[in-house]
Amino acid sequence: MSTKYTIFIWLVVFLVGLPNTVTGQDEQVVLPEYSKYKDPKTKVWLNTYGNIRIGKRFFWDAQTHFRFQETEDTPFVGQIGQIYNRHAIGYIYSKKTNFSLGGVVRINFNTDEDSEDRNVVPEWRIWHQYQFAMPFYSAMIYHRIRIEHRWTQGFEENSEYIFRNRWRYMFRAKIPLNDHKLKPKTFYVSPEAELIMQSGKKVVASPMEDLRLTTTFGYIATPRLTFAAGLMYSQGQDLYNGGYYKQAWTLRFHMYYSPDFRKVKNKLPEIHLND
Amino acid sequence: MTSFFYRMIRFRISSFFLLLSFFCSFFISENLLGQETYLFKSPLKLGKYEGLANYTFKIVENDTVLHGTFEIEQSNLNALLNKEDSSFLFRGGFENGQATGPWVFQFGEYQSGSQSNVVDYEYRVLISGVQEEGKGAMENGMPEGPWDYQVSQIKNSEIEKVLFKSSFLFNEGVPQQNFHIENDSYTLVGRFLRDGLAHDEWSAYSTDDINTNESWFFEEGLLRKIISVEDGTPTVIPIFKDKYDETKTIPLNDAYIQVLKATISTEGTLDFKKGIFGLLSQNIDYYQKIDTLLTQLGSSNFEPEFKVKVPYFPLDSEQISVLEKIDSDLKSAKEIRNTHLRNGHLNIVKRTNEDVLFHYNTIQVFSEEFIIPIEKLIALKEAGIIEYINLVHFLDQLWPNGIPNTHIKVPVDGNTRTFELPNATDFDFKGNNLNALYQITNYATLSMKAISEKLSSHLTDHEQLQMLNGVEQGLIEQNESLVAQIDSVSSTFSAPYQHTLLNIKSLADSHLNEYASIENPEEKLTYGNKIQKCLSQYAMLTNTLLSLPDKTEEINTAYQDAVWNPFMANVMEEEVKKRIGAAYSKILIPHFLEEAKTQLTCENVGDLDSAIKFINERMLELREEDTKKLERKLRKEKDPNEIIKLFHQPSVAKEGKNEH
Repeated sequence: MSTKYTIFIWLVVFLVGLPNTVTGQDEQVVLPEYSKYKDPKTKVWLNTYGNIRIGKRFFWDAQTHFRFQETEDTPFVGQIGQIYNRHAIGYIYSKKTNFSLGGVVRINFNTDEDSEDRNVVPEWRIWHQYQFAMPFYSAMIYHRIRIEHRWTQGFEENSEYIFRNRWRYMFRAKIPLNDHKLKPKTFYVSPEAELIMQSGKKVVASPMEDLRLTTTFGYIATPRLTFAAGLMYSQGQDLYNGGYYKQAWTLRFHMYYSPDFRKVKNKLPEIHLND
Repeated sequence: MTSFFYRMIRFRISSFFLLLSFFCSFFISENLLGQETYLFKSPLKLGKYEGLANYTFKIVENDTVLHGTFEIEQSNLNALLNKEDSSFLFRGGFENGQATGPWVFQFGEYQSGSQSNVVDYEYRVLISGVQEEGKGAMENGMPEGPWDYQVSQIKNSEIEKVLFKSSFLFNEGVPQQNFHIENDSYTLVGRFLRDGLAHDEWSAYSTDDINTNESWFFEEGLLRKIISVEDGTPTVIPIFKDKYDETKTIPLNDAYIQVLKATISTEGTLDFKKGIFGLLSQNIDYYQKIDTLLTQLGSSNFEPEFKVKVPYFPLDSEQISVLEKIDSDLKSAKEIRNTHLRNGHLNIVKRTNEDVLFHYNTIQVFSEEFIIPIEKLIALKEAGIIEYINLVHFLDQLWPNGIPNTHIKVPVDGNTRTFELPNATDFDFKGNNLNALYQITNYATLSMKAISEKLSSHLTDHEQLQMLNGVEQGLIEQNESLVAQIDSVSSTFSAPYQHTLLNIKSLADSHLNEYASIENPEEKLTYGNKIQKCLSQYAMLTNTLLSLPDKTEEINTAYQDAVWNPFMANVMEEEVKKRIGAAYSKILIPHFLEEAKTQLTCENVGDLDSAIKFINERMLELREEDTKKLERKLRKEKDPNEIIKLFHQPSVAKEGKNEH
């Protein structure tokens, strides 16, 4: 228990430490002889994904995520860690290809109950994404490339923003279980793997930020509403010491909705994008 | 530390290539996974065309789906040398069962000349005859880009004369821009709007006579006027000259010409067989020929959409039911007319009996003054175009000699006698509407029935027996075919349908039993005639019921809308206007089946049949209309009769508005 506690403190120091103190520590970082895996944390994510059609080829990508993280006092589900507000304008290149460009405001909550620092700090991102889908027998396969430019800061007063780029590639399949294709009233299983690499001045020996392996079960309620839930295992290098690997088990719950408030008249060429 | 950093960069670059190759492999594997295609080379019959086919196809869910090149041809040297050969060649390609890419259709009727010569190592025989050739490109089974159809007269293997030629430009099966059609007597040029609607001036010039031409003036599909110039004298024929609240877009075909004929006030001013319509219908026939062939090959969107607009004058439910009554009355009147005017015995008796002659001639007068004009209206109804005709205008012209009178003057041997029903004052022929027309029709029918009764005493027993025999035979045949129809298919239908069909069968049976128990020949004849009509209506209802599951399926499919799901990146079907769909399949259909099972009588069978047909048609119309108000009203309504009433009300939005 006490080792767990020390590791936790250690982690908090690394995660939220001021960039300048970290610069000070730079010289002191010593890579362990062998890679060290920290104890996995548990998290719960409640994610909503909106895809609101605003034109023949454009949509508003509106995602709000609530992410909980275990703490000493509240194990398992934990307390609120981050609230994500991810928005973008998406462009539908074809039925199977779309691109998005937008921004993220993430509200980070200090989950360390002992911390005297600020409780809430914002994090800013610009992101762009390229998604490709391909039918594969009865299933669909998706490739997602997402690039994020990210400004983060610690919880200490007057901490400075540090800038990093994130390079993400996700491979995902959605396999219908009770039908021959993905259509309303269908359950599906979705295995997914995402690799998140990072770069930036502060990223010295920890380019692999996260590797996420997830399996999700979903249900397509209507063409405009889908629910899914899954379990994710993730691991990634600690930013300030690449020899240490964080691990987490995350329960994820998703709601996907895609309303279309356009007038019927404007909707007519719904799927015939190339007319 | 630095080397570690470089290693990581290298790792990042190499991982990028790894990712890229991973990507590519997916695109390739997708192609590799496409189904295998097979080659077919053997004789094949396509309607009346039988020849050697050569094509590729693939198997999808146990179905043969044409995919790749296709060719079928036939020519017979023996036939050519002996007398005449009909040859043909169709060549093109398919993609997933839909005709795609360049296509050529050739049909030839050739005779050989008597001379032959040897050139190099070939025997050459010159041929004469007629060759038809249609060619152009297709996409998804629809004509795309330029299409030409040419019919040439061939003499000694050379084109002697072009008998017909048309050139169109298509975009997804919709004719675009200018087109050109010519035959040996006329040349037509005209143009279409992007949505295939006829527009602007369409002019046809006679190739023989410079002073003869014909022009149709369209405004976005609406034909405003026709100017026909014959020997230098122009005639202007206004067509749809007014401003209309509602219009409908319909195909330019024979039905449209019927609408035009009924709209043009003075008859006979224009010969529709010649000029512009002659050319168009010739062209439509050629395109239909290709369409028939492609449909037999499973690719069915070829028929091009030449579209026009017509004004729309919707009938309300009351008008429709009056029209049905007129139709059914007219049928009985015609039946009586036909049996009497063609009756050999009566034809003899009328020479000696003045009373018979009087009644016989009265039937003739009714036929000319009542039945024939009313038939014109019913013809419009049967062609399904009555709602495109301005009824007020049409009824106005129905009686060139004025509305008929209940007081009928009948010429009898140089004198004039009059006929009038005793209750003639009950009838009111005044008014330019369907109700008045029904009164007129009803008067004619009742008069014919009265005359028929009067004449029946003049028919000998022998005649009566013969008529009875005829009726009986008819009844038995009708009943047998009804029973056969029901028995052959009913087991494949669900229980509610089976119960309903069995009820119809037993009803028909009980009518026949009752008929058999009647002894008085006159009564028997009357009852026989009545149930003859009834049985034919049962058969009609049975047909409607048997096709109902398919029809409901068609309607349900029509109420599906394709929605692109951004998260799945695919297209899904979504039910639209759910309340209307639910009212139809959960309330109306069970209600109709229940009615037919428990409430059916000779009197209401016709109404039930037309109610089902009306609702089916209405469902397809409602799919396109603005139905917000109706959907709101349907929310609380569970009573089938109220729902039927709601369905009869016209939607608020005008159809004309939705078209743009």
